[in-house]
Amino acid sequence: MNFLKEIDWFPFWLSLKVAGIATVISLICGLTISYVLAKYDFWGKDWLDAIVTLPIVLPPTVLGYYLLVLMGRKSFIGLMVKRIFGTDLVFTWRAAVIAACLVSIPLLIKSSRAAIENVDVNLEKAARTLGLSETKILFKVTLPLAWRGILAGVLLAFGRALGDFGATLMVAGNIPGKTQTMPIAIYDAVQSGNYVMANVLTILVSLVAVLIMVVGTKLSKAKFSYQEFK
Amino acid sequence: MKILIDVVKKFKNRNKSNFVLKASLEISEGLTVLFGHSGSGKSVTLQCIAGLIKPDSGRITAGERIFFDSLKKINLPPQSRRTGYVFQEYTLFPHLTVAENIAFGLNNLSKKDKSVKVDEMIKLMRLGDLGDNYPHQISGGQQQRVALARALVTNPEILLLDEPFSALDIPVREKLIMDLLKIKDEFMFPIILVTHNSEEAYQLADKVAVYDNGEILQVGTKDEVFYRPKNRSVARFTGTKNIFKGRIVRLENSEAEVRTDLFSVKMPLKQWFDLGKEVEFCIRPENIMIVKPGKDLSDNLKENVFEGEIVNESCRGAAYYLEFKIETKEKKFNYDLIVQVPAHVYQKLDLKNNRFAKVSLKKDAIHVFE
Repeated sequence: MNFLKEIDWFPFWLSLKVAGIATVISLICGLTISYVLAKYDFWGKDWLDAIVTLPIVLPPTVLGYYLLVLMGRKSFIGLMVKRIFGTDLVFTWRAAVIAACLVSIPLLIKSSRAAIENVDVNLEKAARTLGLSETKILFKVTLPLAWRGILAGVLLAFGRALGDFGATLMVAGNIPGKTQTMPIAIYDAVQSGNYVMANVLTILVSLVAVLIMVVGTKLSKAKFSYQEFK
Repeated sequence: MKILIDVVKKFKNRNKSNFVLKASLEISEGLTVLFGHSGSGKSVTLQCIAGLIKPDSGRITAGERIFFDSLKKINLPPQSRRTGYVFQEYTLFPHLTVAENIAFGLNNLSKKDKSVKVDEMIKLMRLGDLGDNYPHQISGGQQQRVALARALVTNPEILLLDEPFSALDIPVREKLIMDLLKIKDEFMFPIILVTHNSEEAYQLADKVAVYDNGEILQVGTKDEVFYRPKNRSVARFTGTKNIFKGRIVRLENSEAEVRTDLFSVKMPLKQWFDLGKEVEFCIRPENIMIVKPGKDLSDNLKENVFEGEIVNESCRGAAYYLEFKIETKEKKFNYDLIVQVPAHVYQKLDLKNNRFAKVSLKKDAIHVFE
């Protein structure tokens, strides 16, 4: 196991950090969007639905390029961030977080929207006639009954965030020790002939991905289990 | 307390023609049944009262309280209407126990007060020691009793029941109906029940509103609706079965004779009867008697007697429904009358073998549509 010592673990930890933060942000934004999409009818709903799922079909490089234009050094957002925080957004790990958010949020929305829509509306109606406010209904009825699907979405989102290559490369670049995430590090390692590094990271990413898929599928498949509430 | 409903609600369907509910109804204490086919608007009316569906226009009031008024722009949220609502499919919270389900609507009470009230309800609804069970662990009838308890424990001012028995087996249904009648006597609030089952409607109702295609055809006591339906549609929905068209051919002091294509019958005179006028009339299957051979008939029964043949039959537990063909030259229909005979009469007269019989249409029971 001596070869493990030669490996640079920075990309691994960076990827975990980026994917973790991105998943939390995706959860907050994605859950709100999926609740709105599941419960309300409004003008332009189809468009909102299309736009938030677009990252699934768009090439990551295109997404990355959008982000680059939107928050580059000369863009409005870029200038604002520079003025307020005194730092650039692009080519930092924060840009990687934003890229990871963007590519992972559609998966979370798809899964949690389905889960929320699956909750029998009559249960929510019953709660309403029993005098519970809409907020209480959300926390006492809807979320407790939809959490499986939401959790499955969170796992998928985390997996996708962990594995992003194209969008991250475009906005965060490939700066070893600063913005180099696992997938980019693997590319780099293969390019420079460092196959030990490439193999170890590849196996690691694959294991995490398999684990996520197994647990995620189990969660979305399993019938509602009553035992867990005891 | 009086509930006044006068609402219009349009539903747009992409393919089908639009459905419009126009309901105007006055409801007081006792049990009111909204009766009609599925999709006739009765359930929508119920949800409008509970505040689960917002009408397009109109007004709903309960006593002094205004639930909805499109002119004054009032739309009380369901949370503050104080209605108890019971759904067809039980609709218990699957992640909560029976006791937690019942306690769900008790918000501002201490833990102790909650459990006292829940125990009370568990006793009232015969739920015994099921308090710690989850909904999927108990039977359909028990689940529906929990749903009733959950609604009752919040002290609603109106109880709304949406086809509460249709998912249940018959013996369970009968028991639950008894429970409901008990609740009716105990709580003294208006109960509104939606059903498509005419027997259930007759069994439970103090008052019936008959729905068809978004409109209320008739509102009245159950006897009015079942025995004196306003028109052909109401008669059909309430199972009157024998509906005829005829012409008034003779008028006397107290009775009129009406001739149809097949036969002529005598019926009580109405003020608006005119000679030659075309009328529609009906008689319920249970008001047609099979005449026992050789028996003397009372005045009410002896006038509209016809001979004929039983051509078909179906047995529904305690009663037989016989398809009866009056002996005439006309062979237009397979049968002319539907006769309901109690099973013991069917056996006594041995109708299985004696297919030729005499029937009598009870004169007073013949109802003419105005």
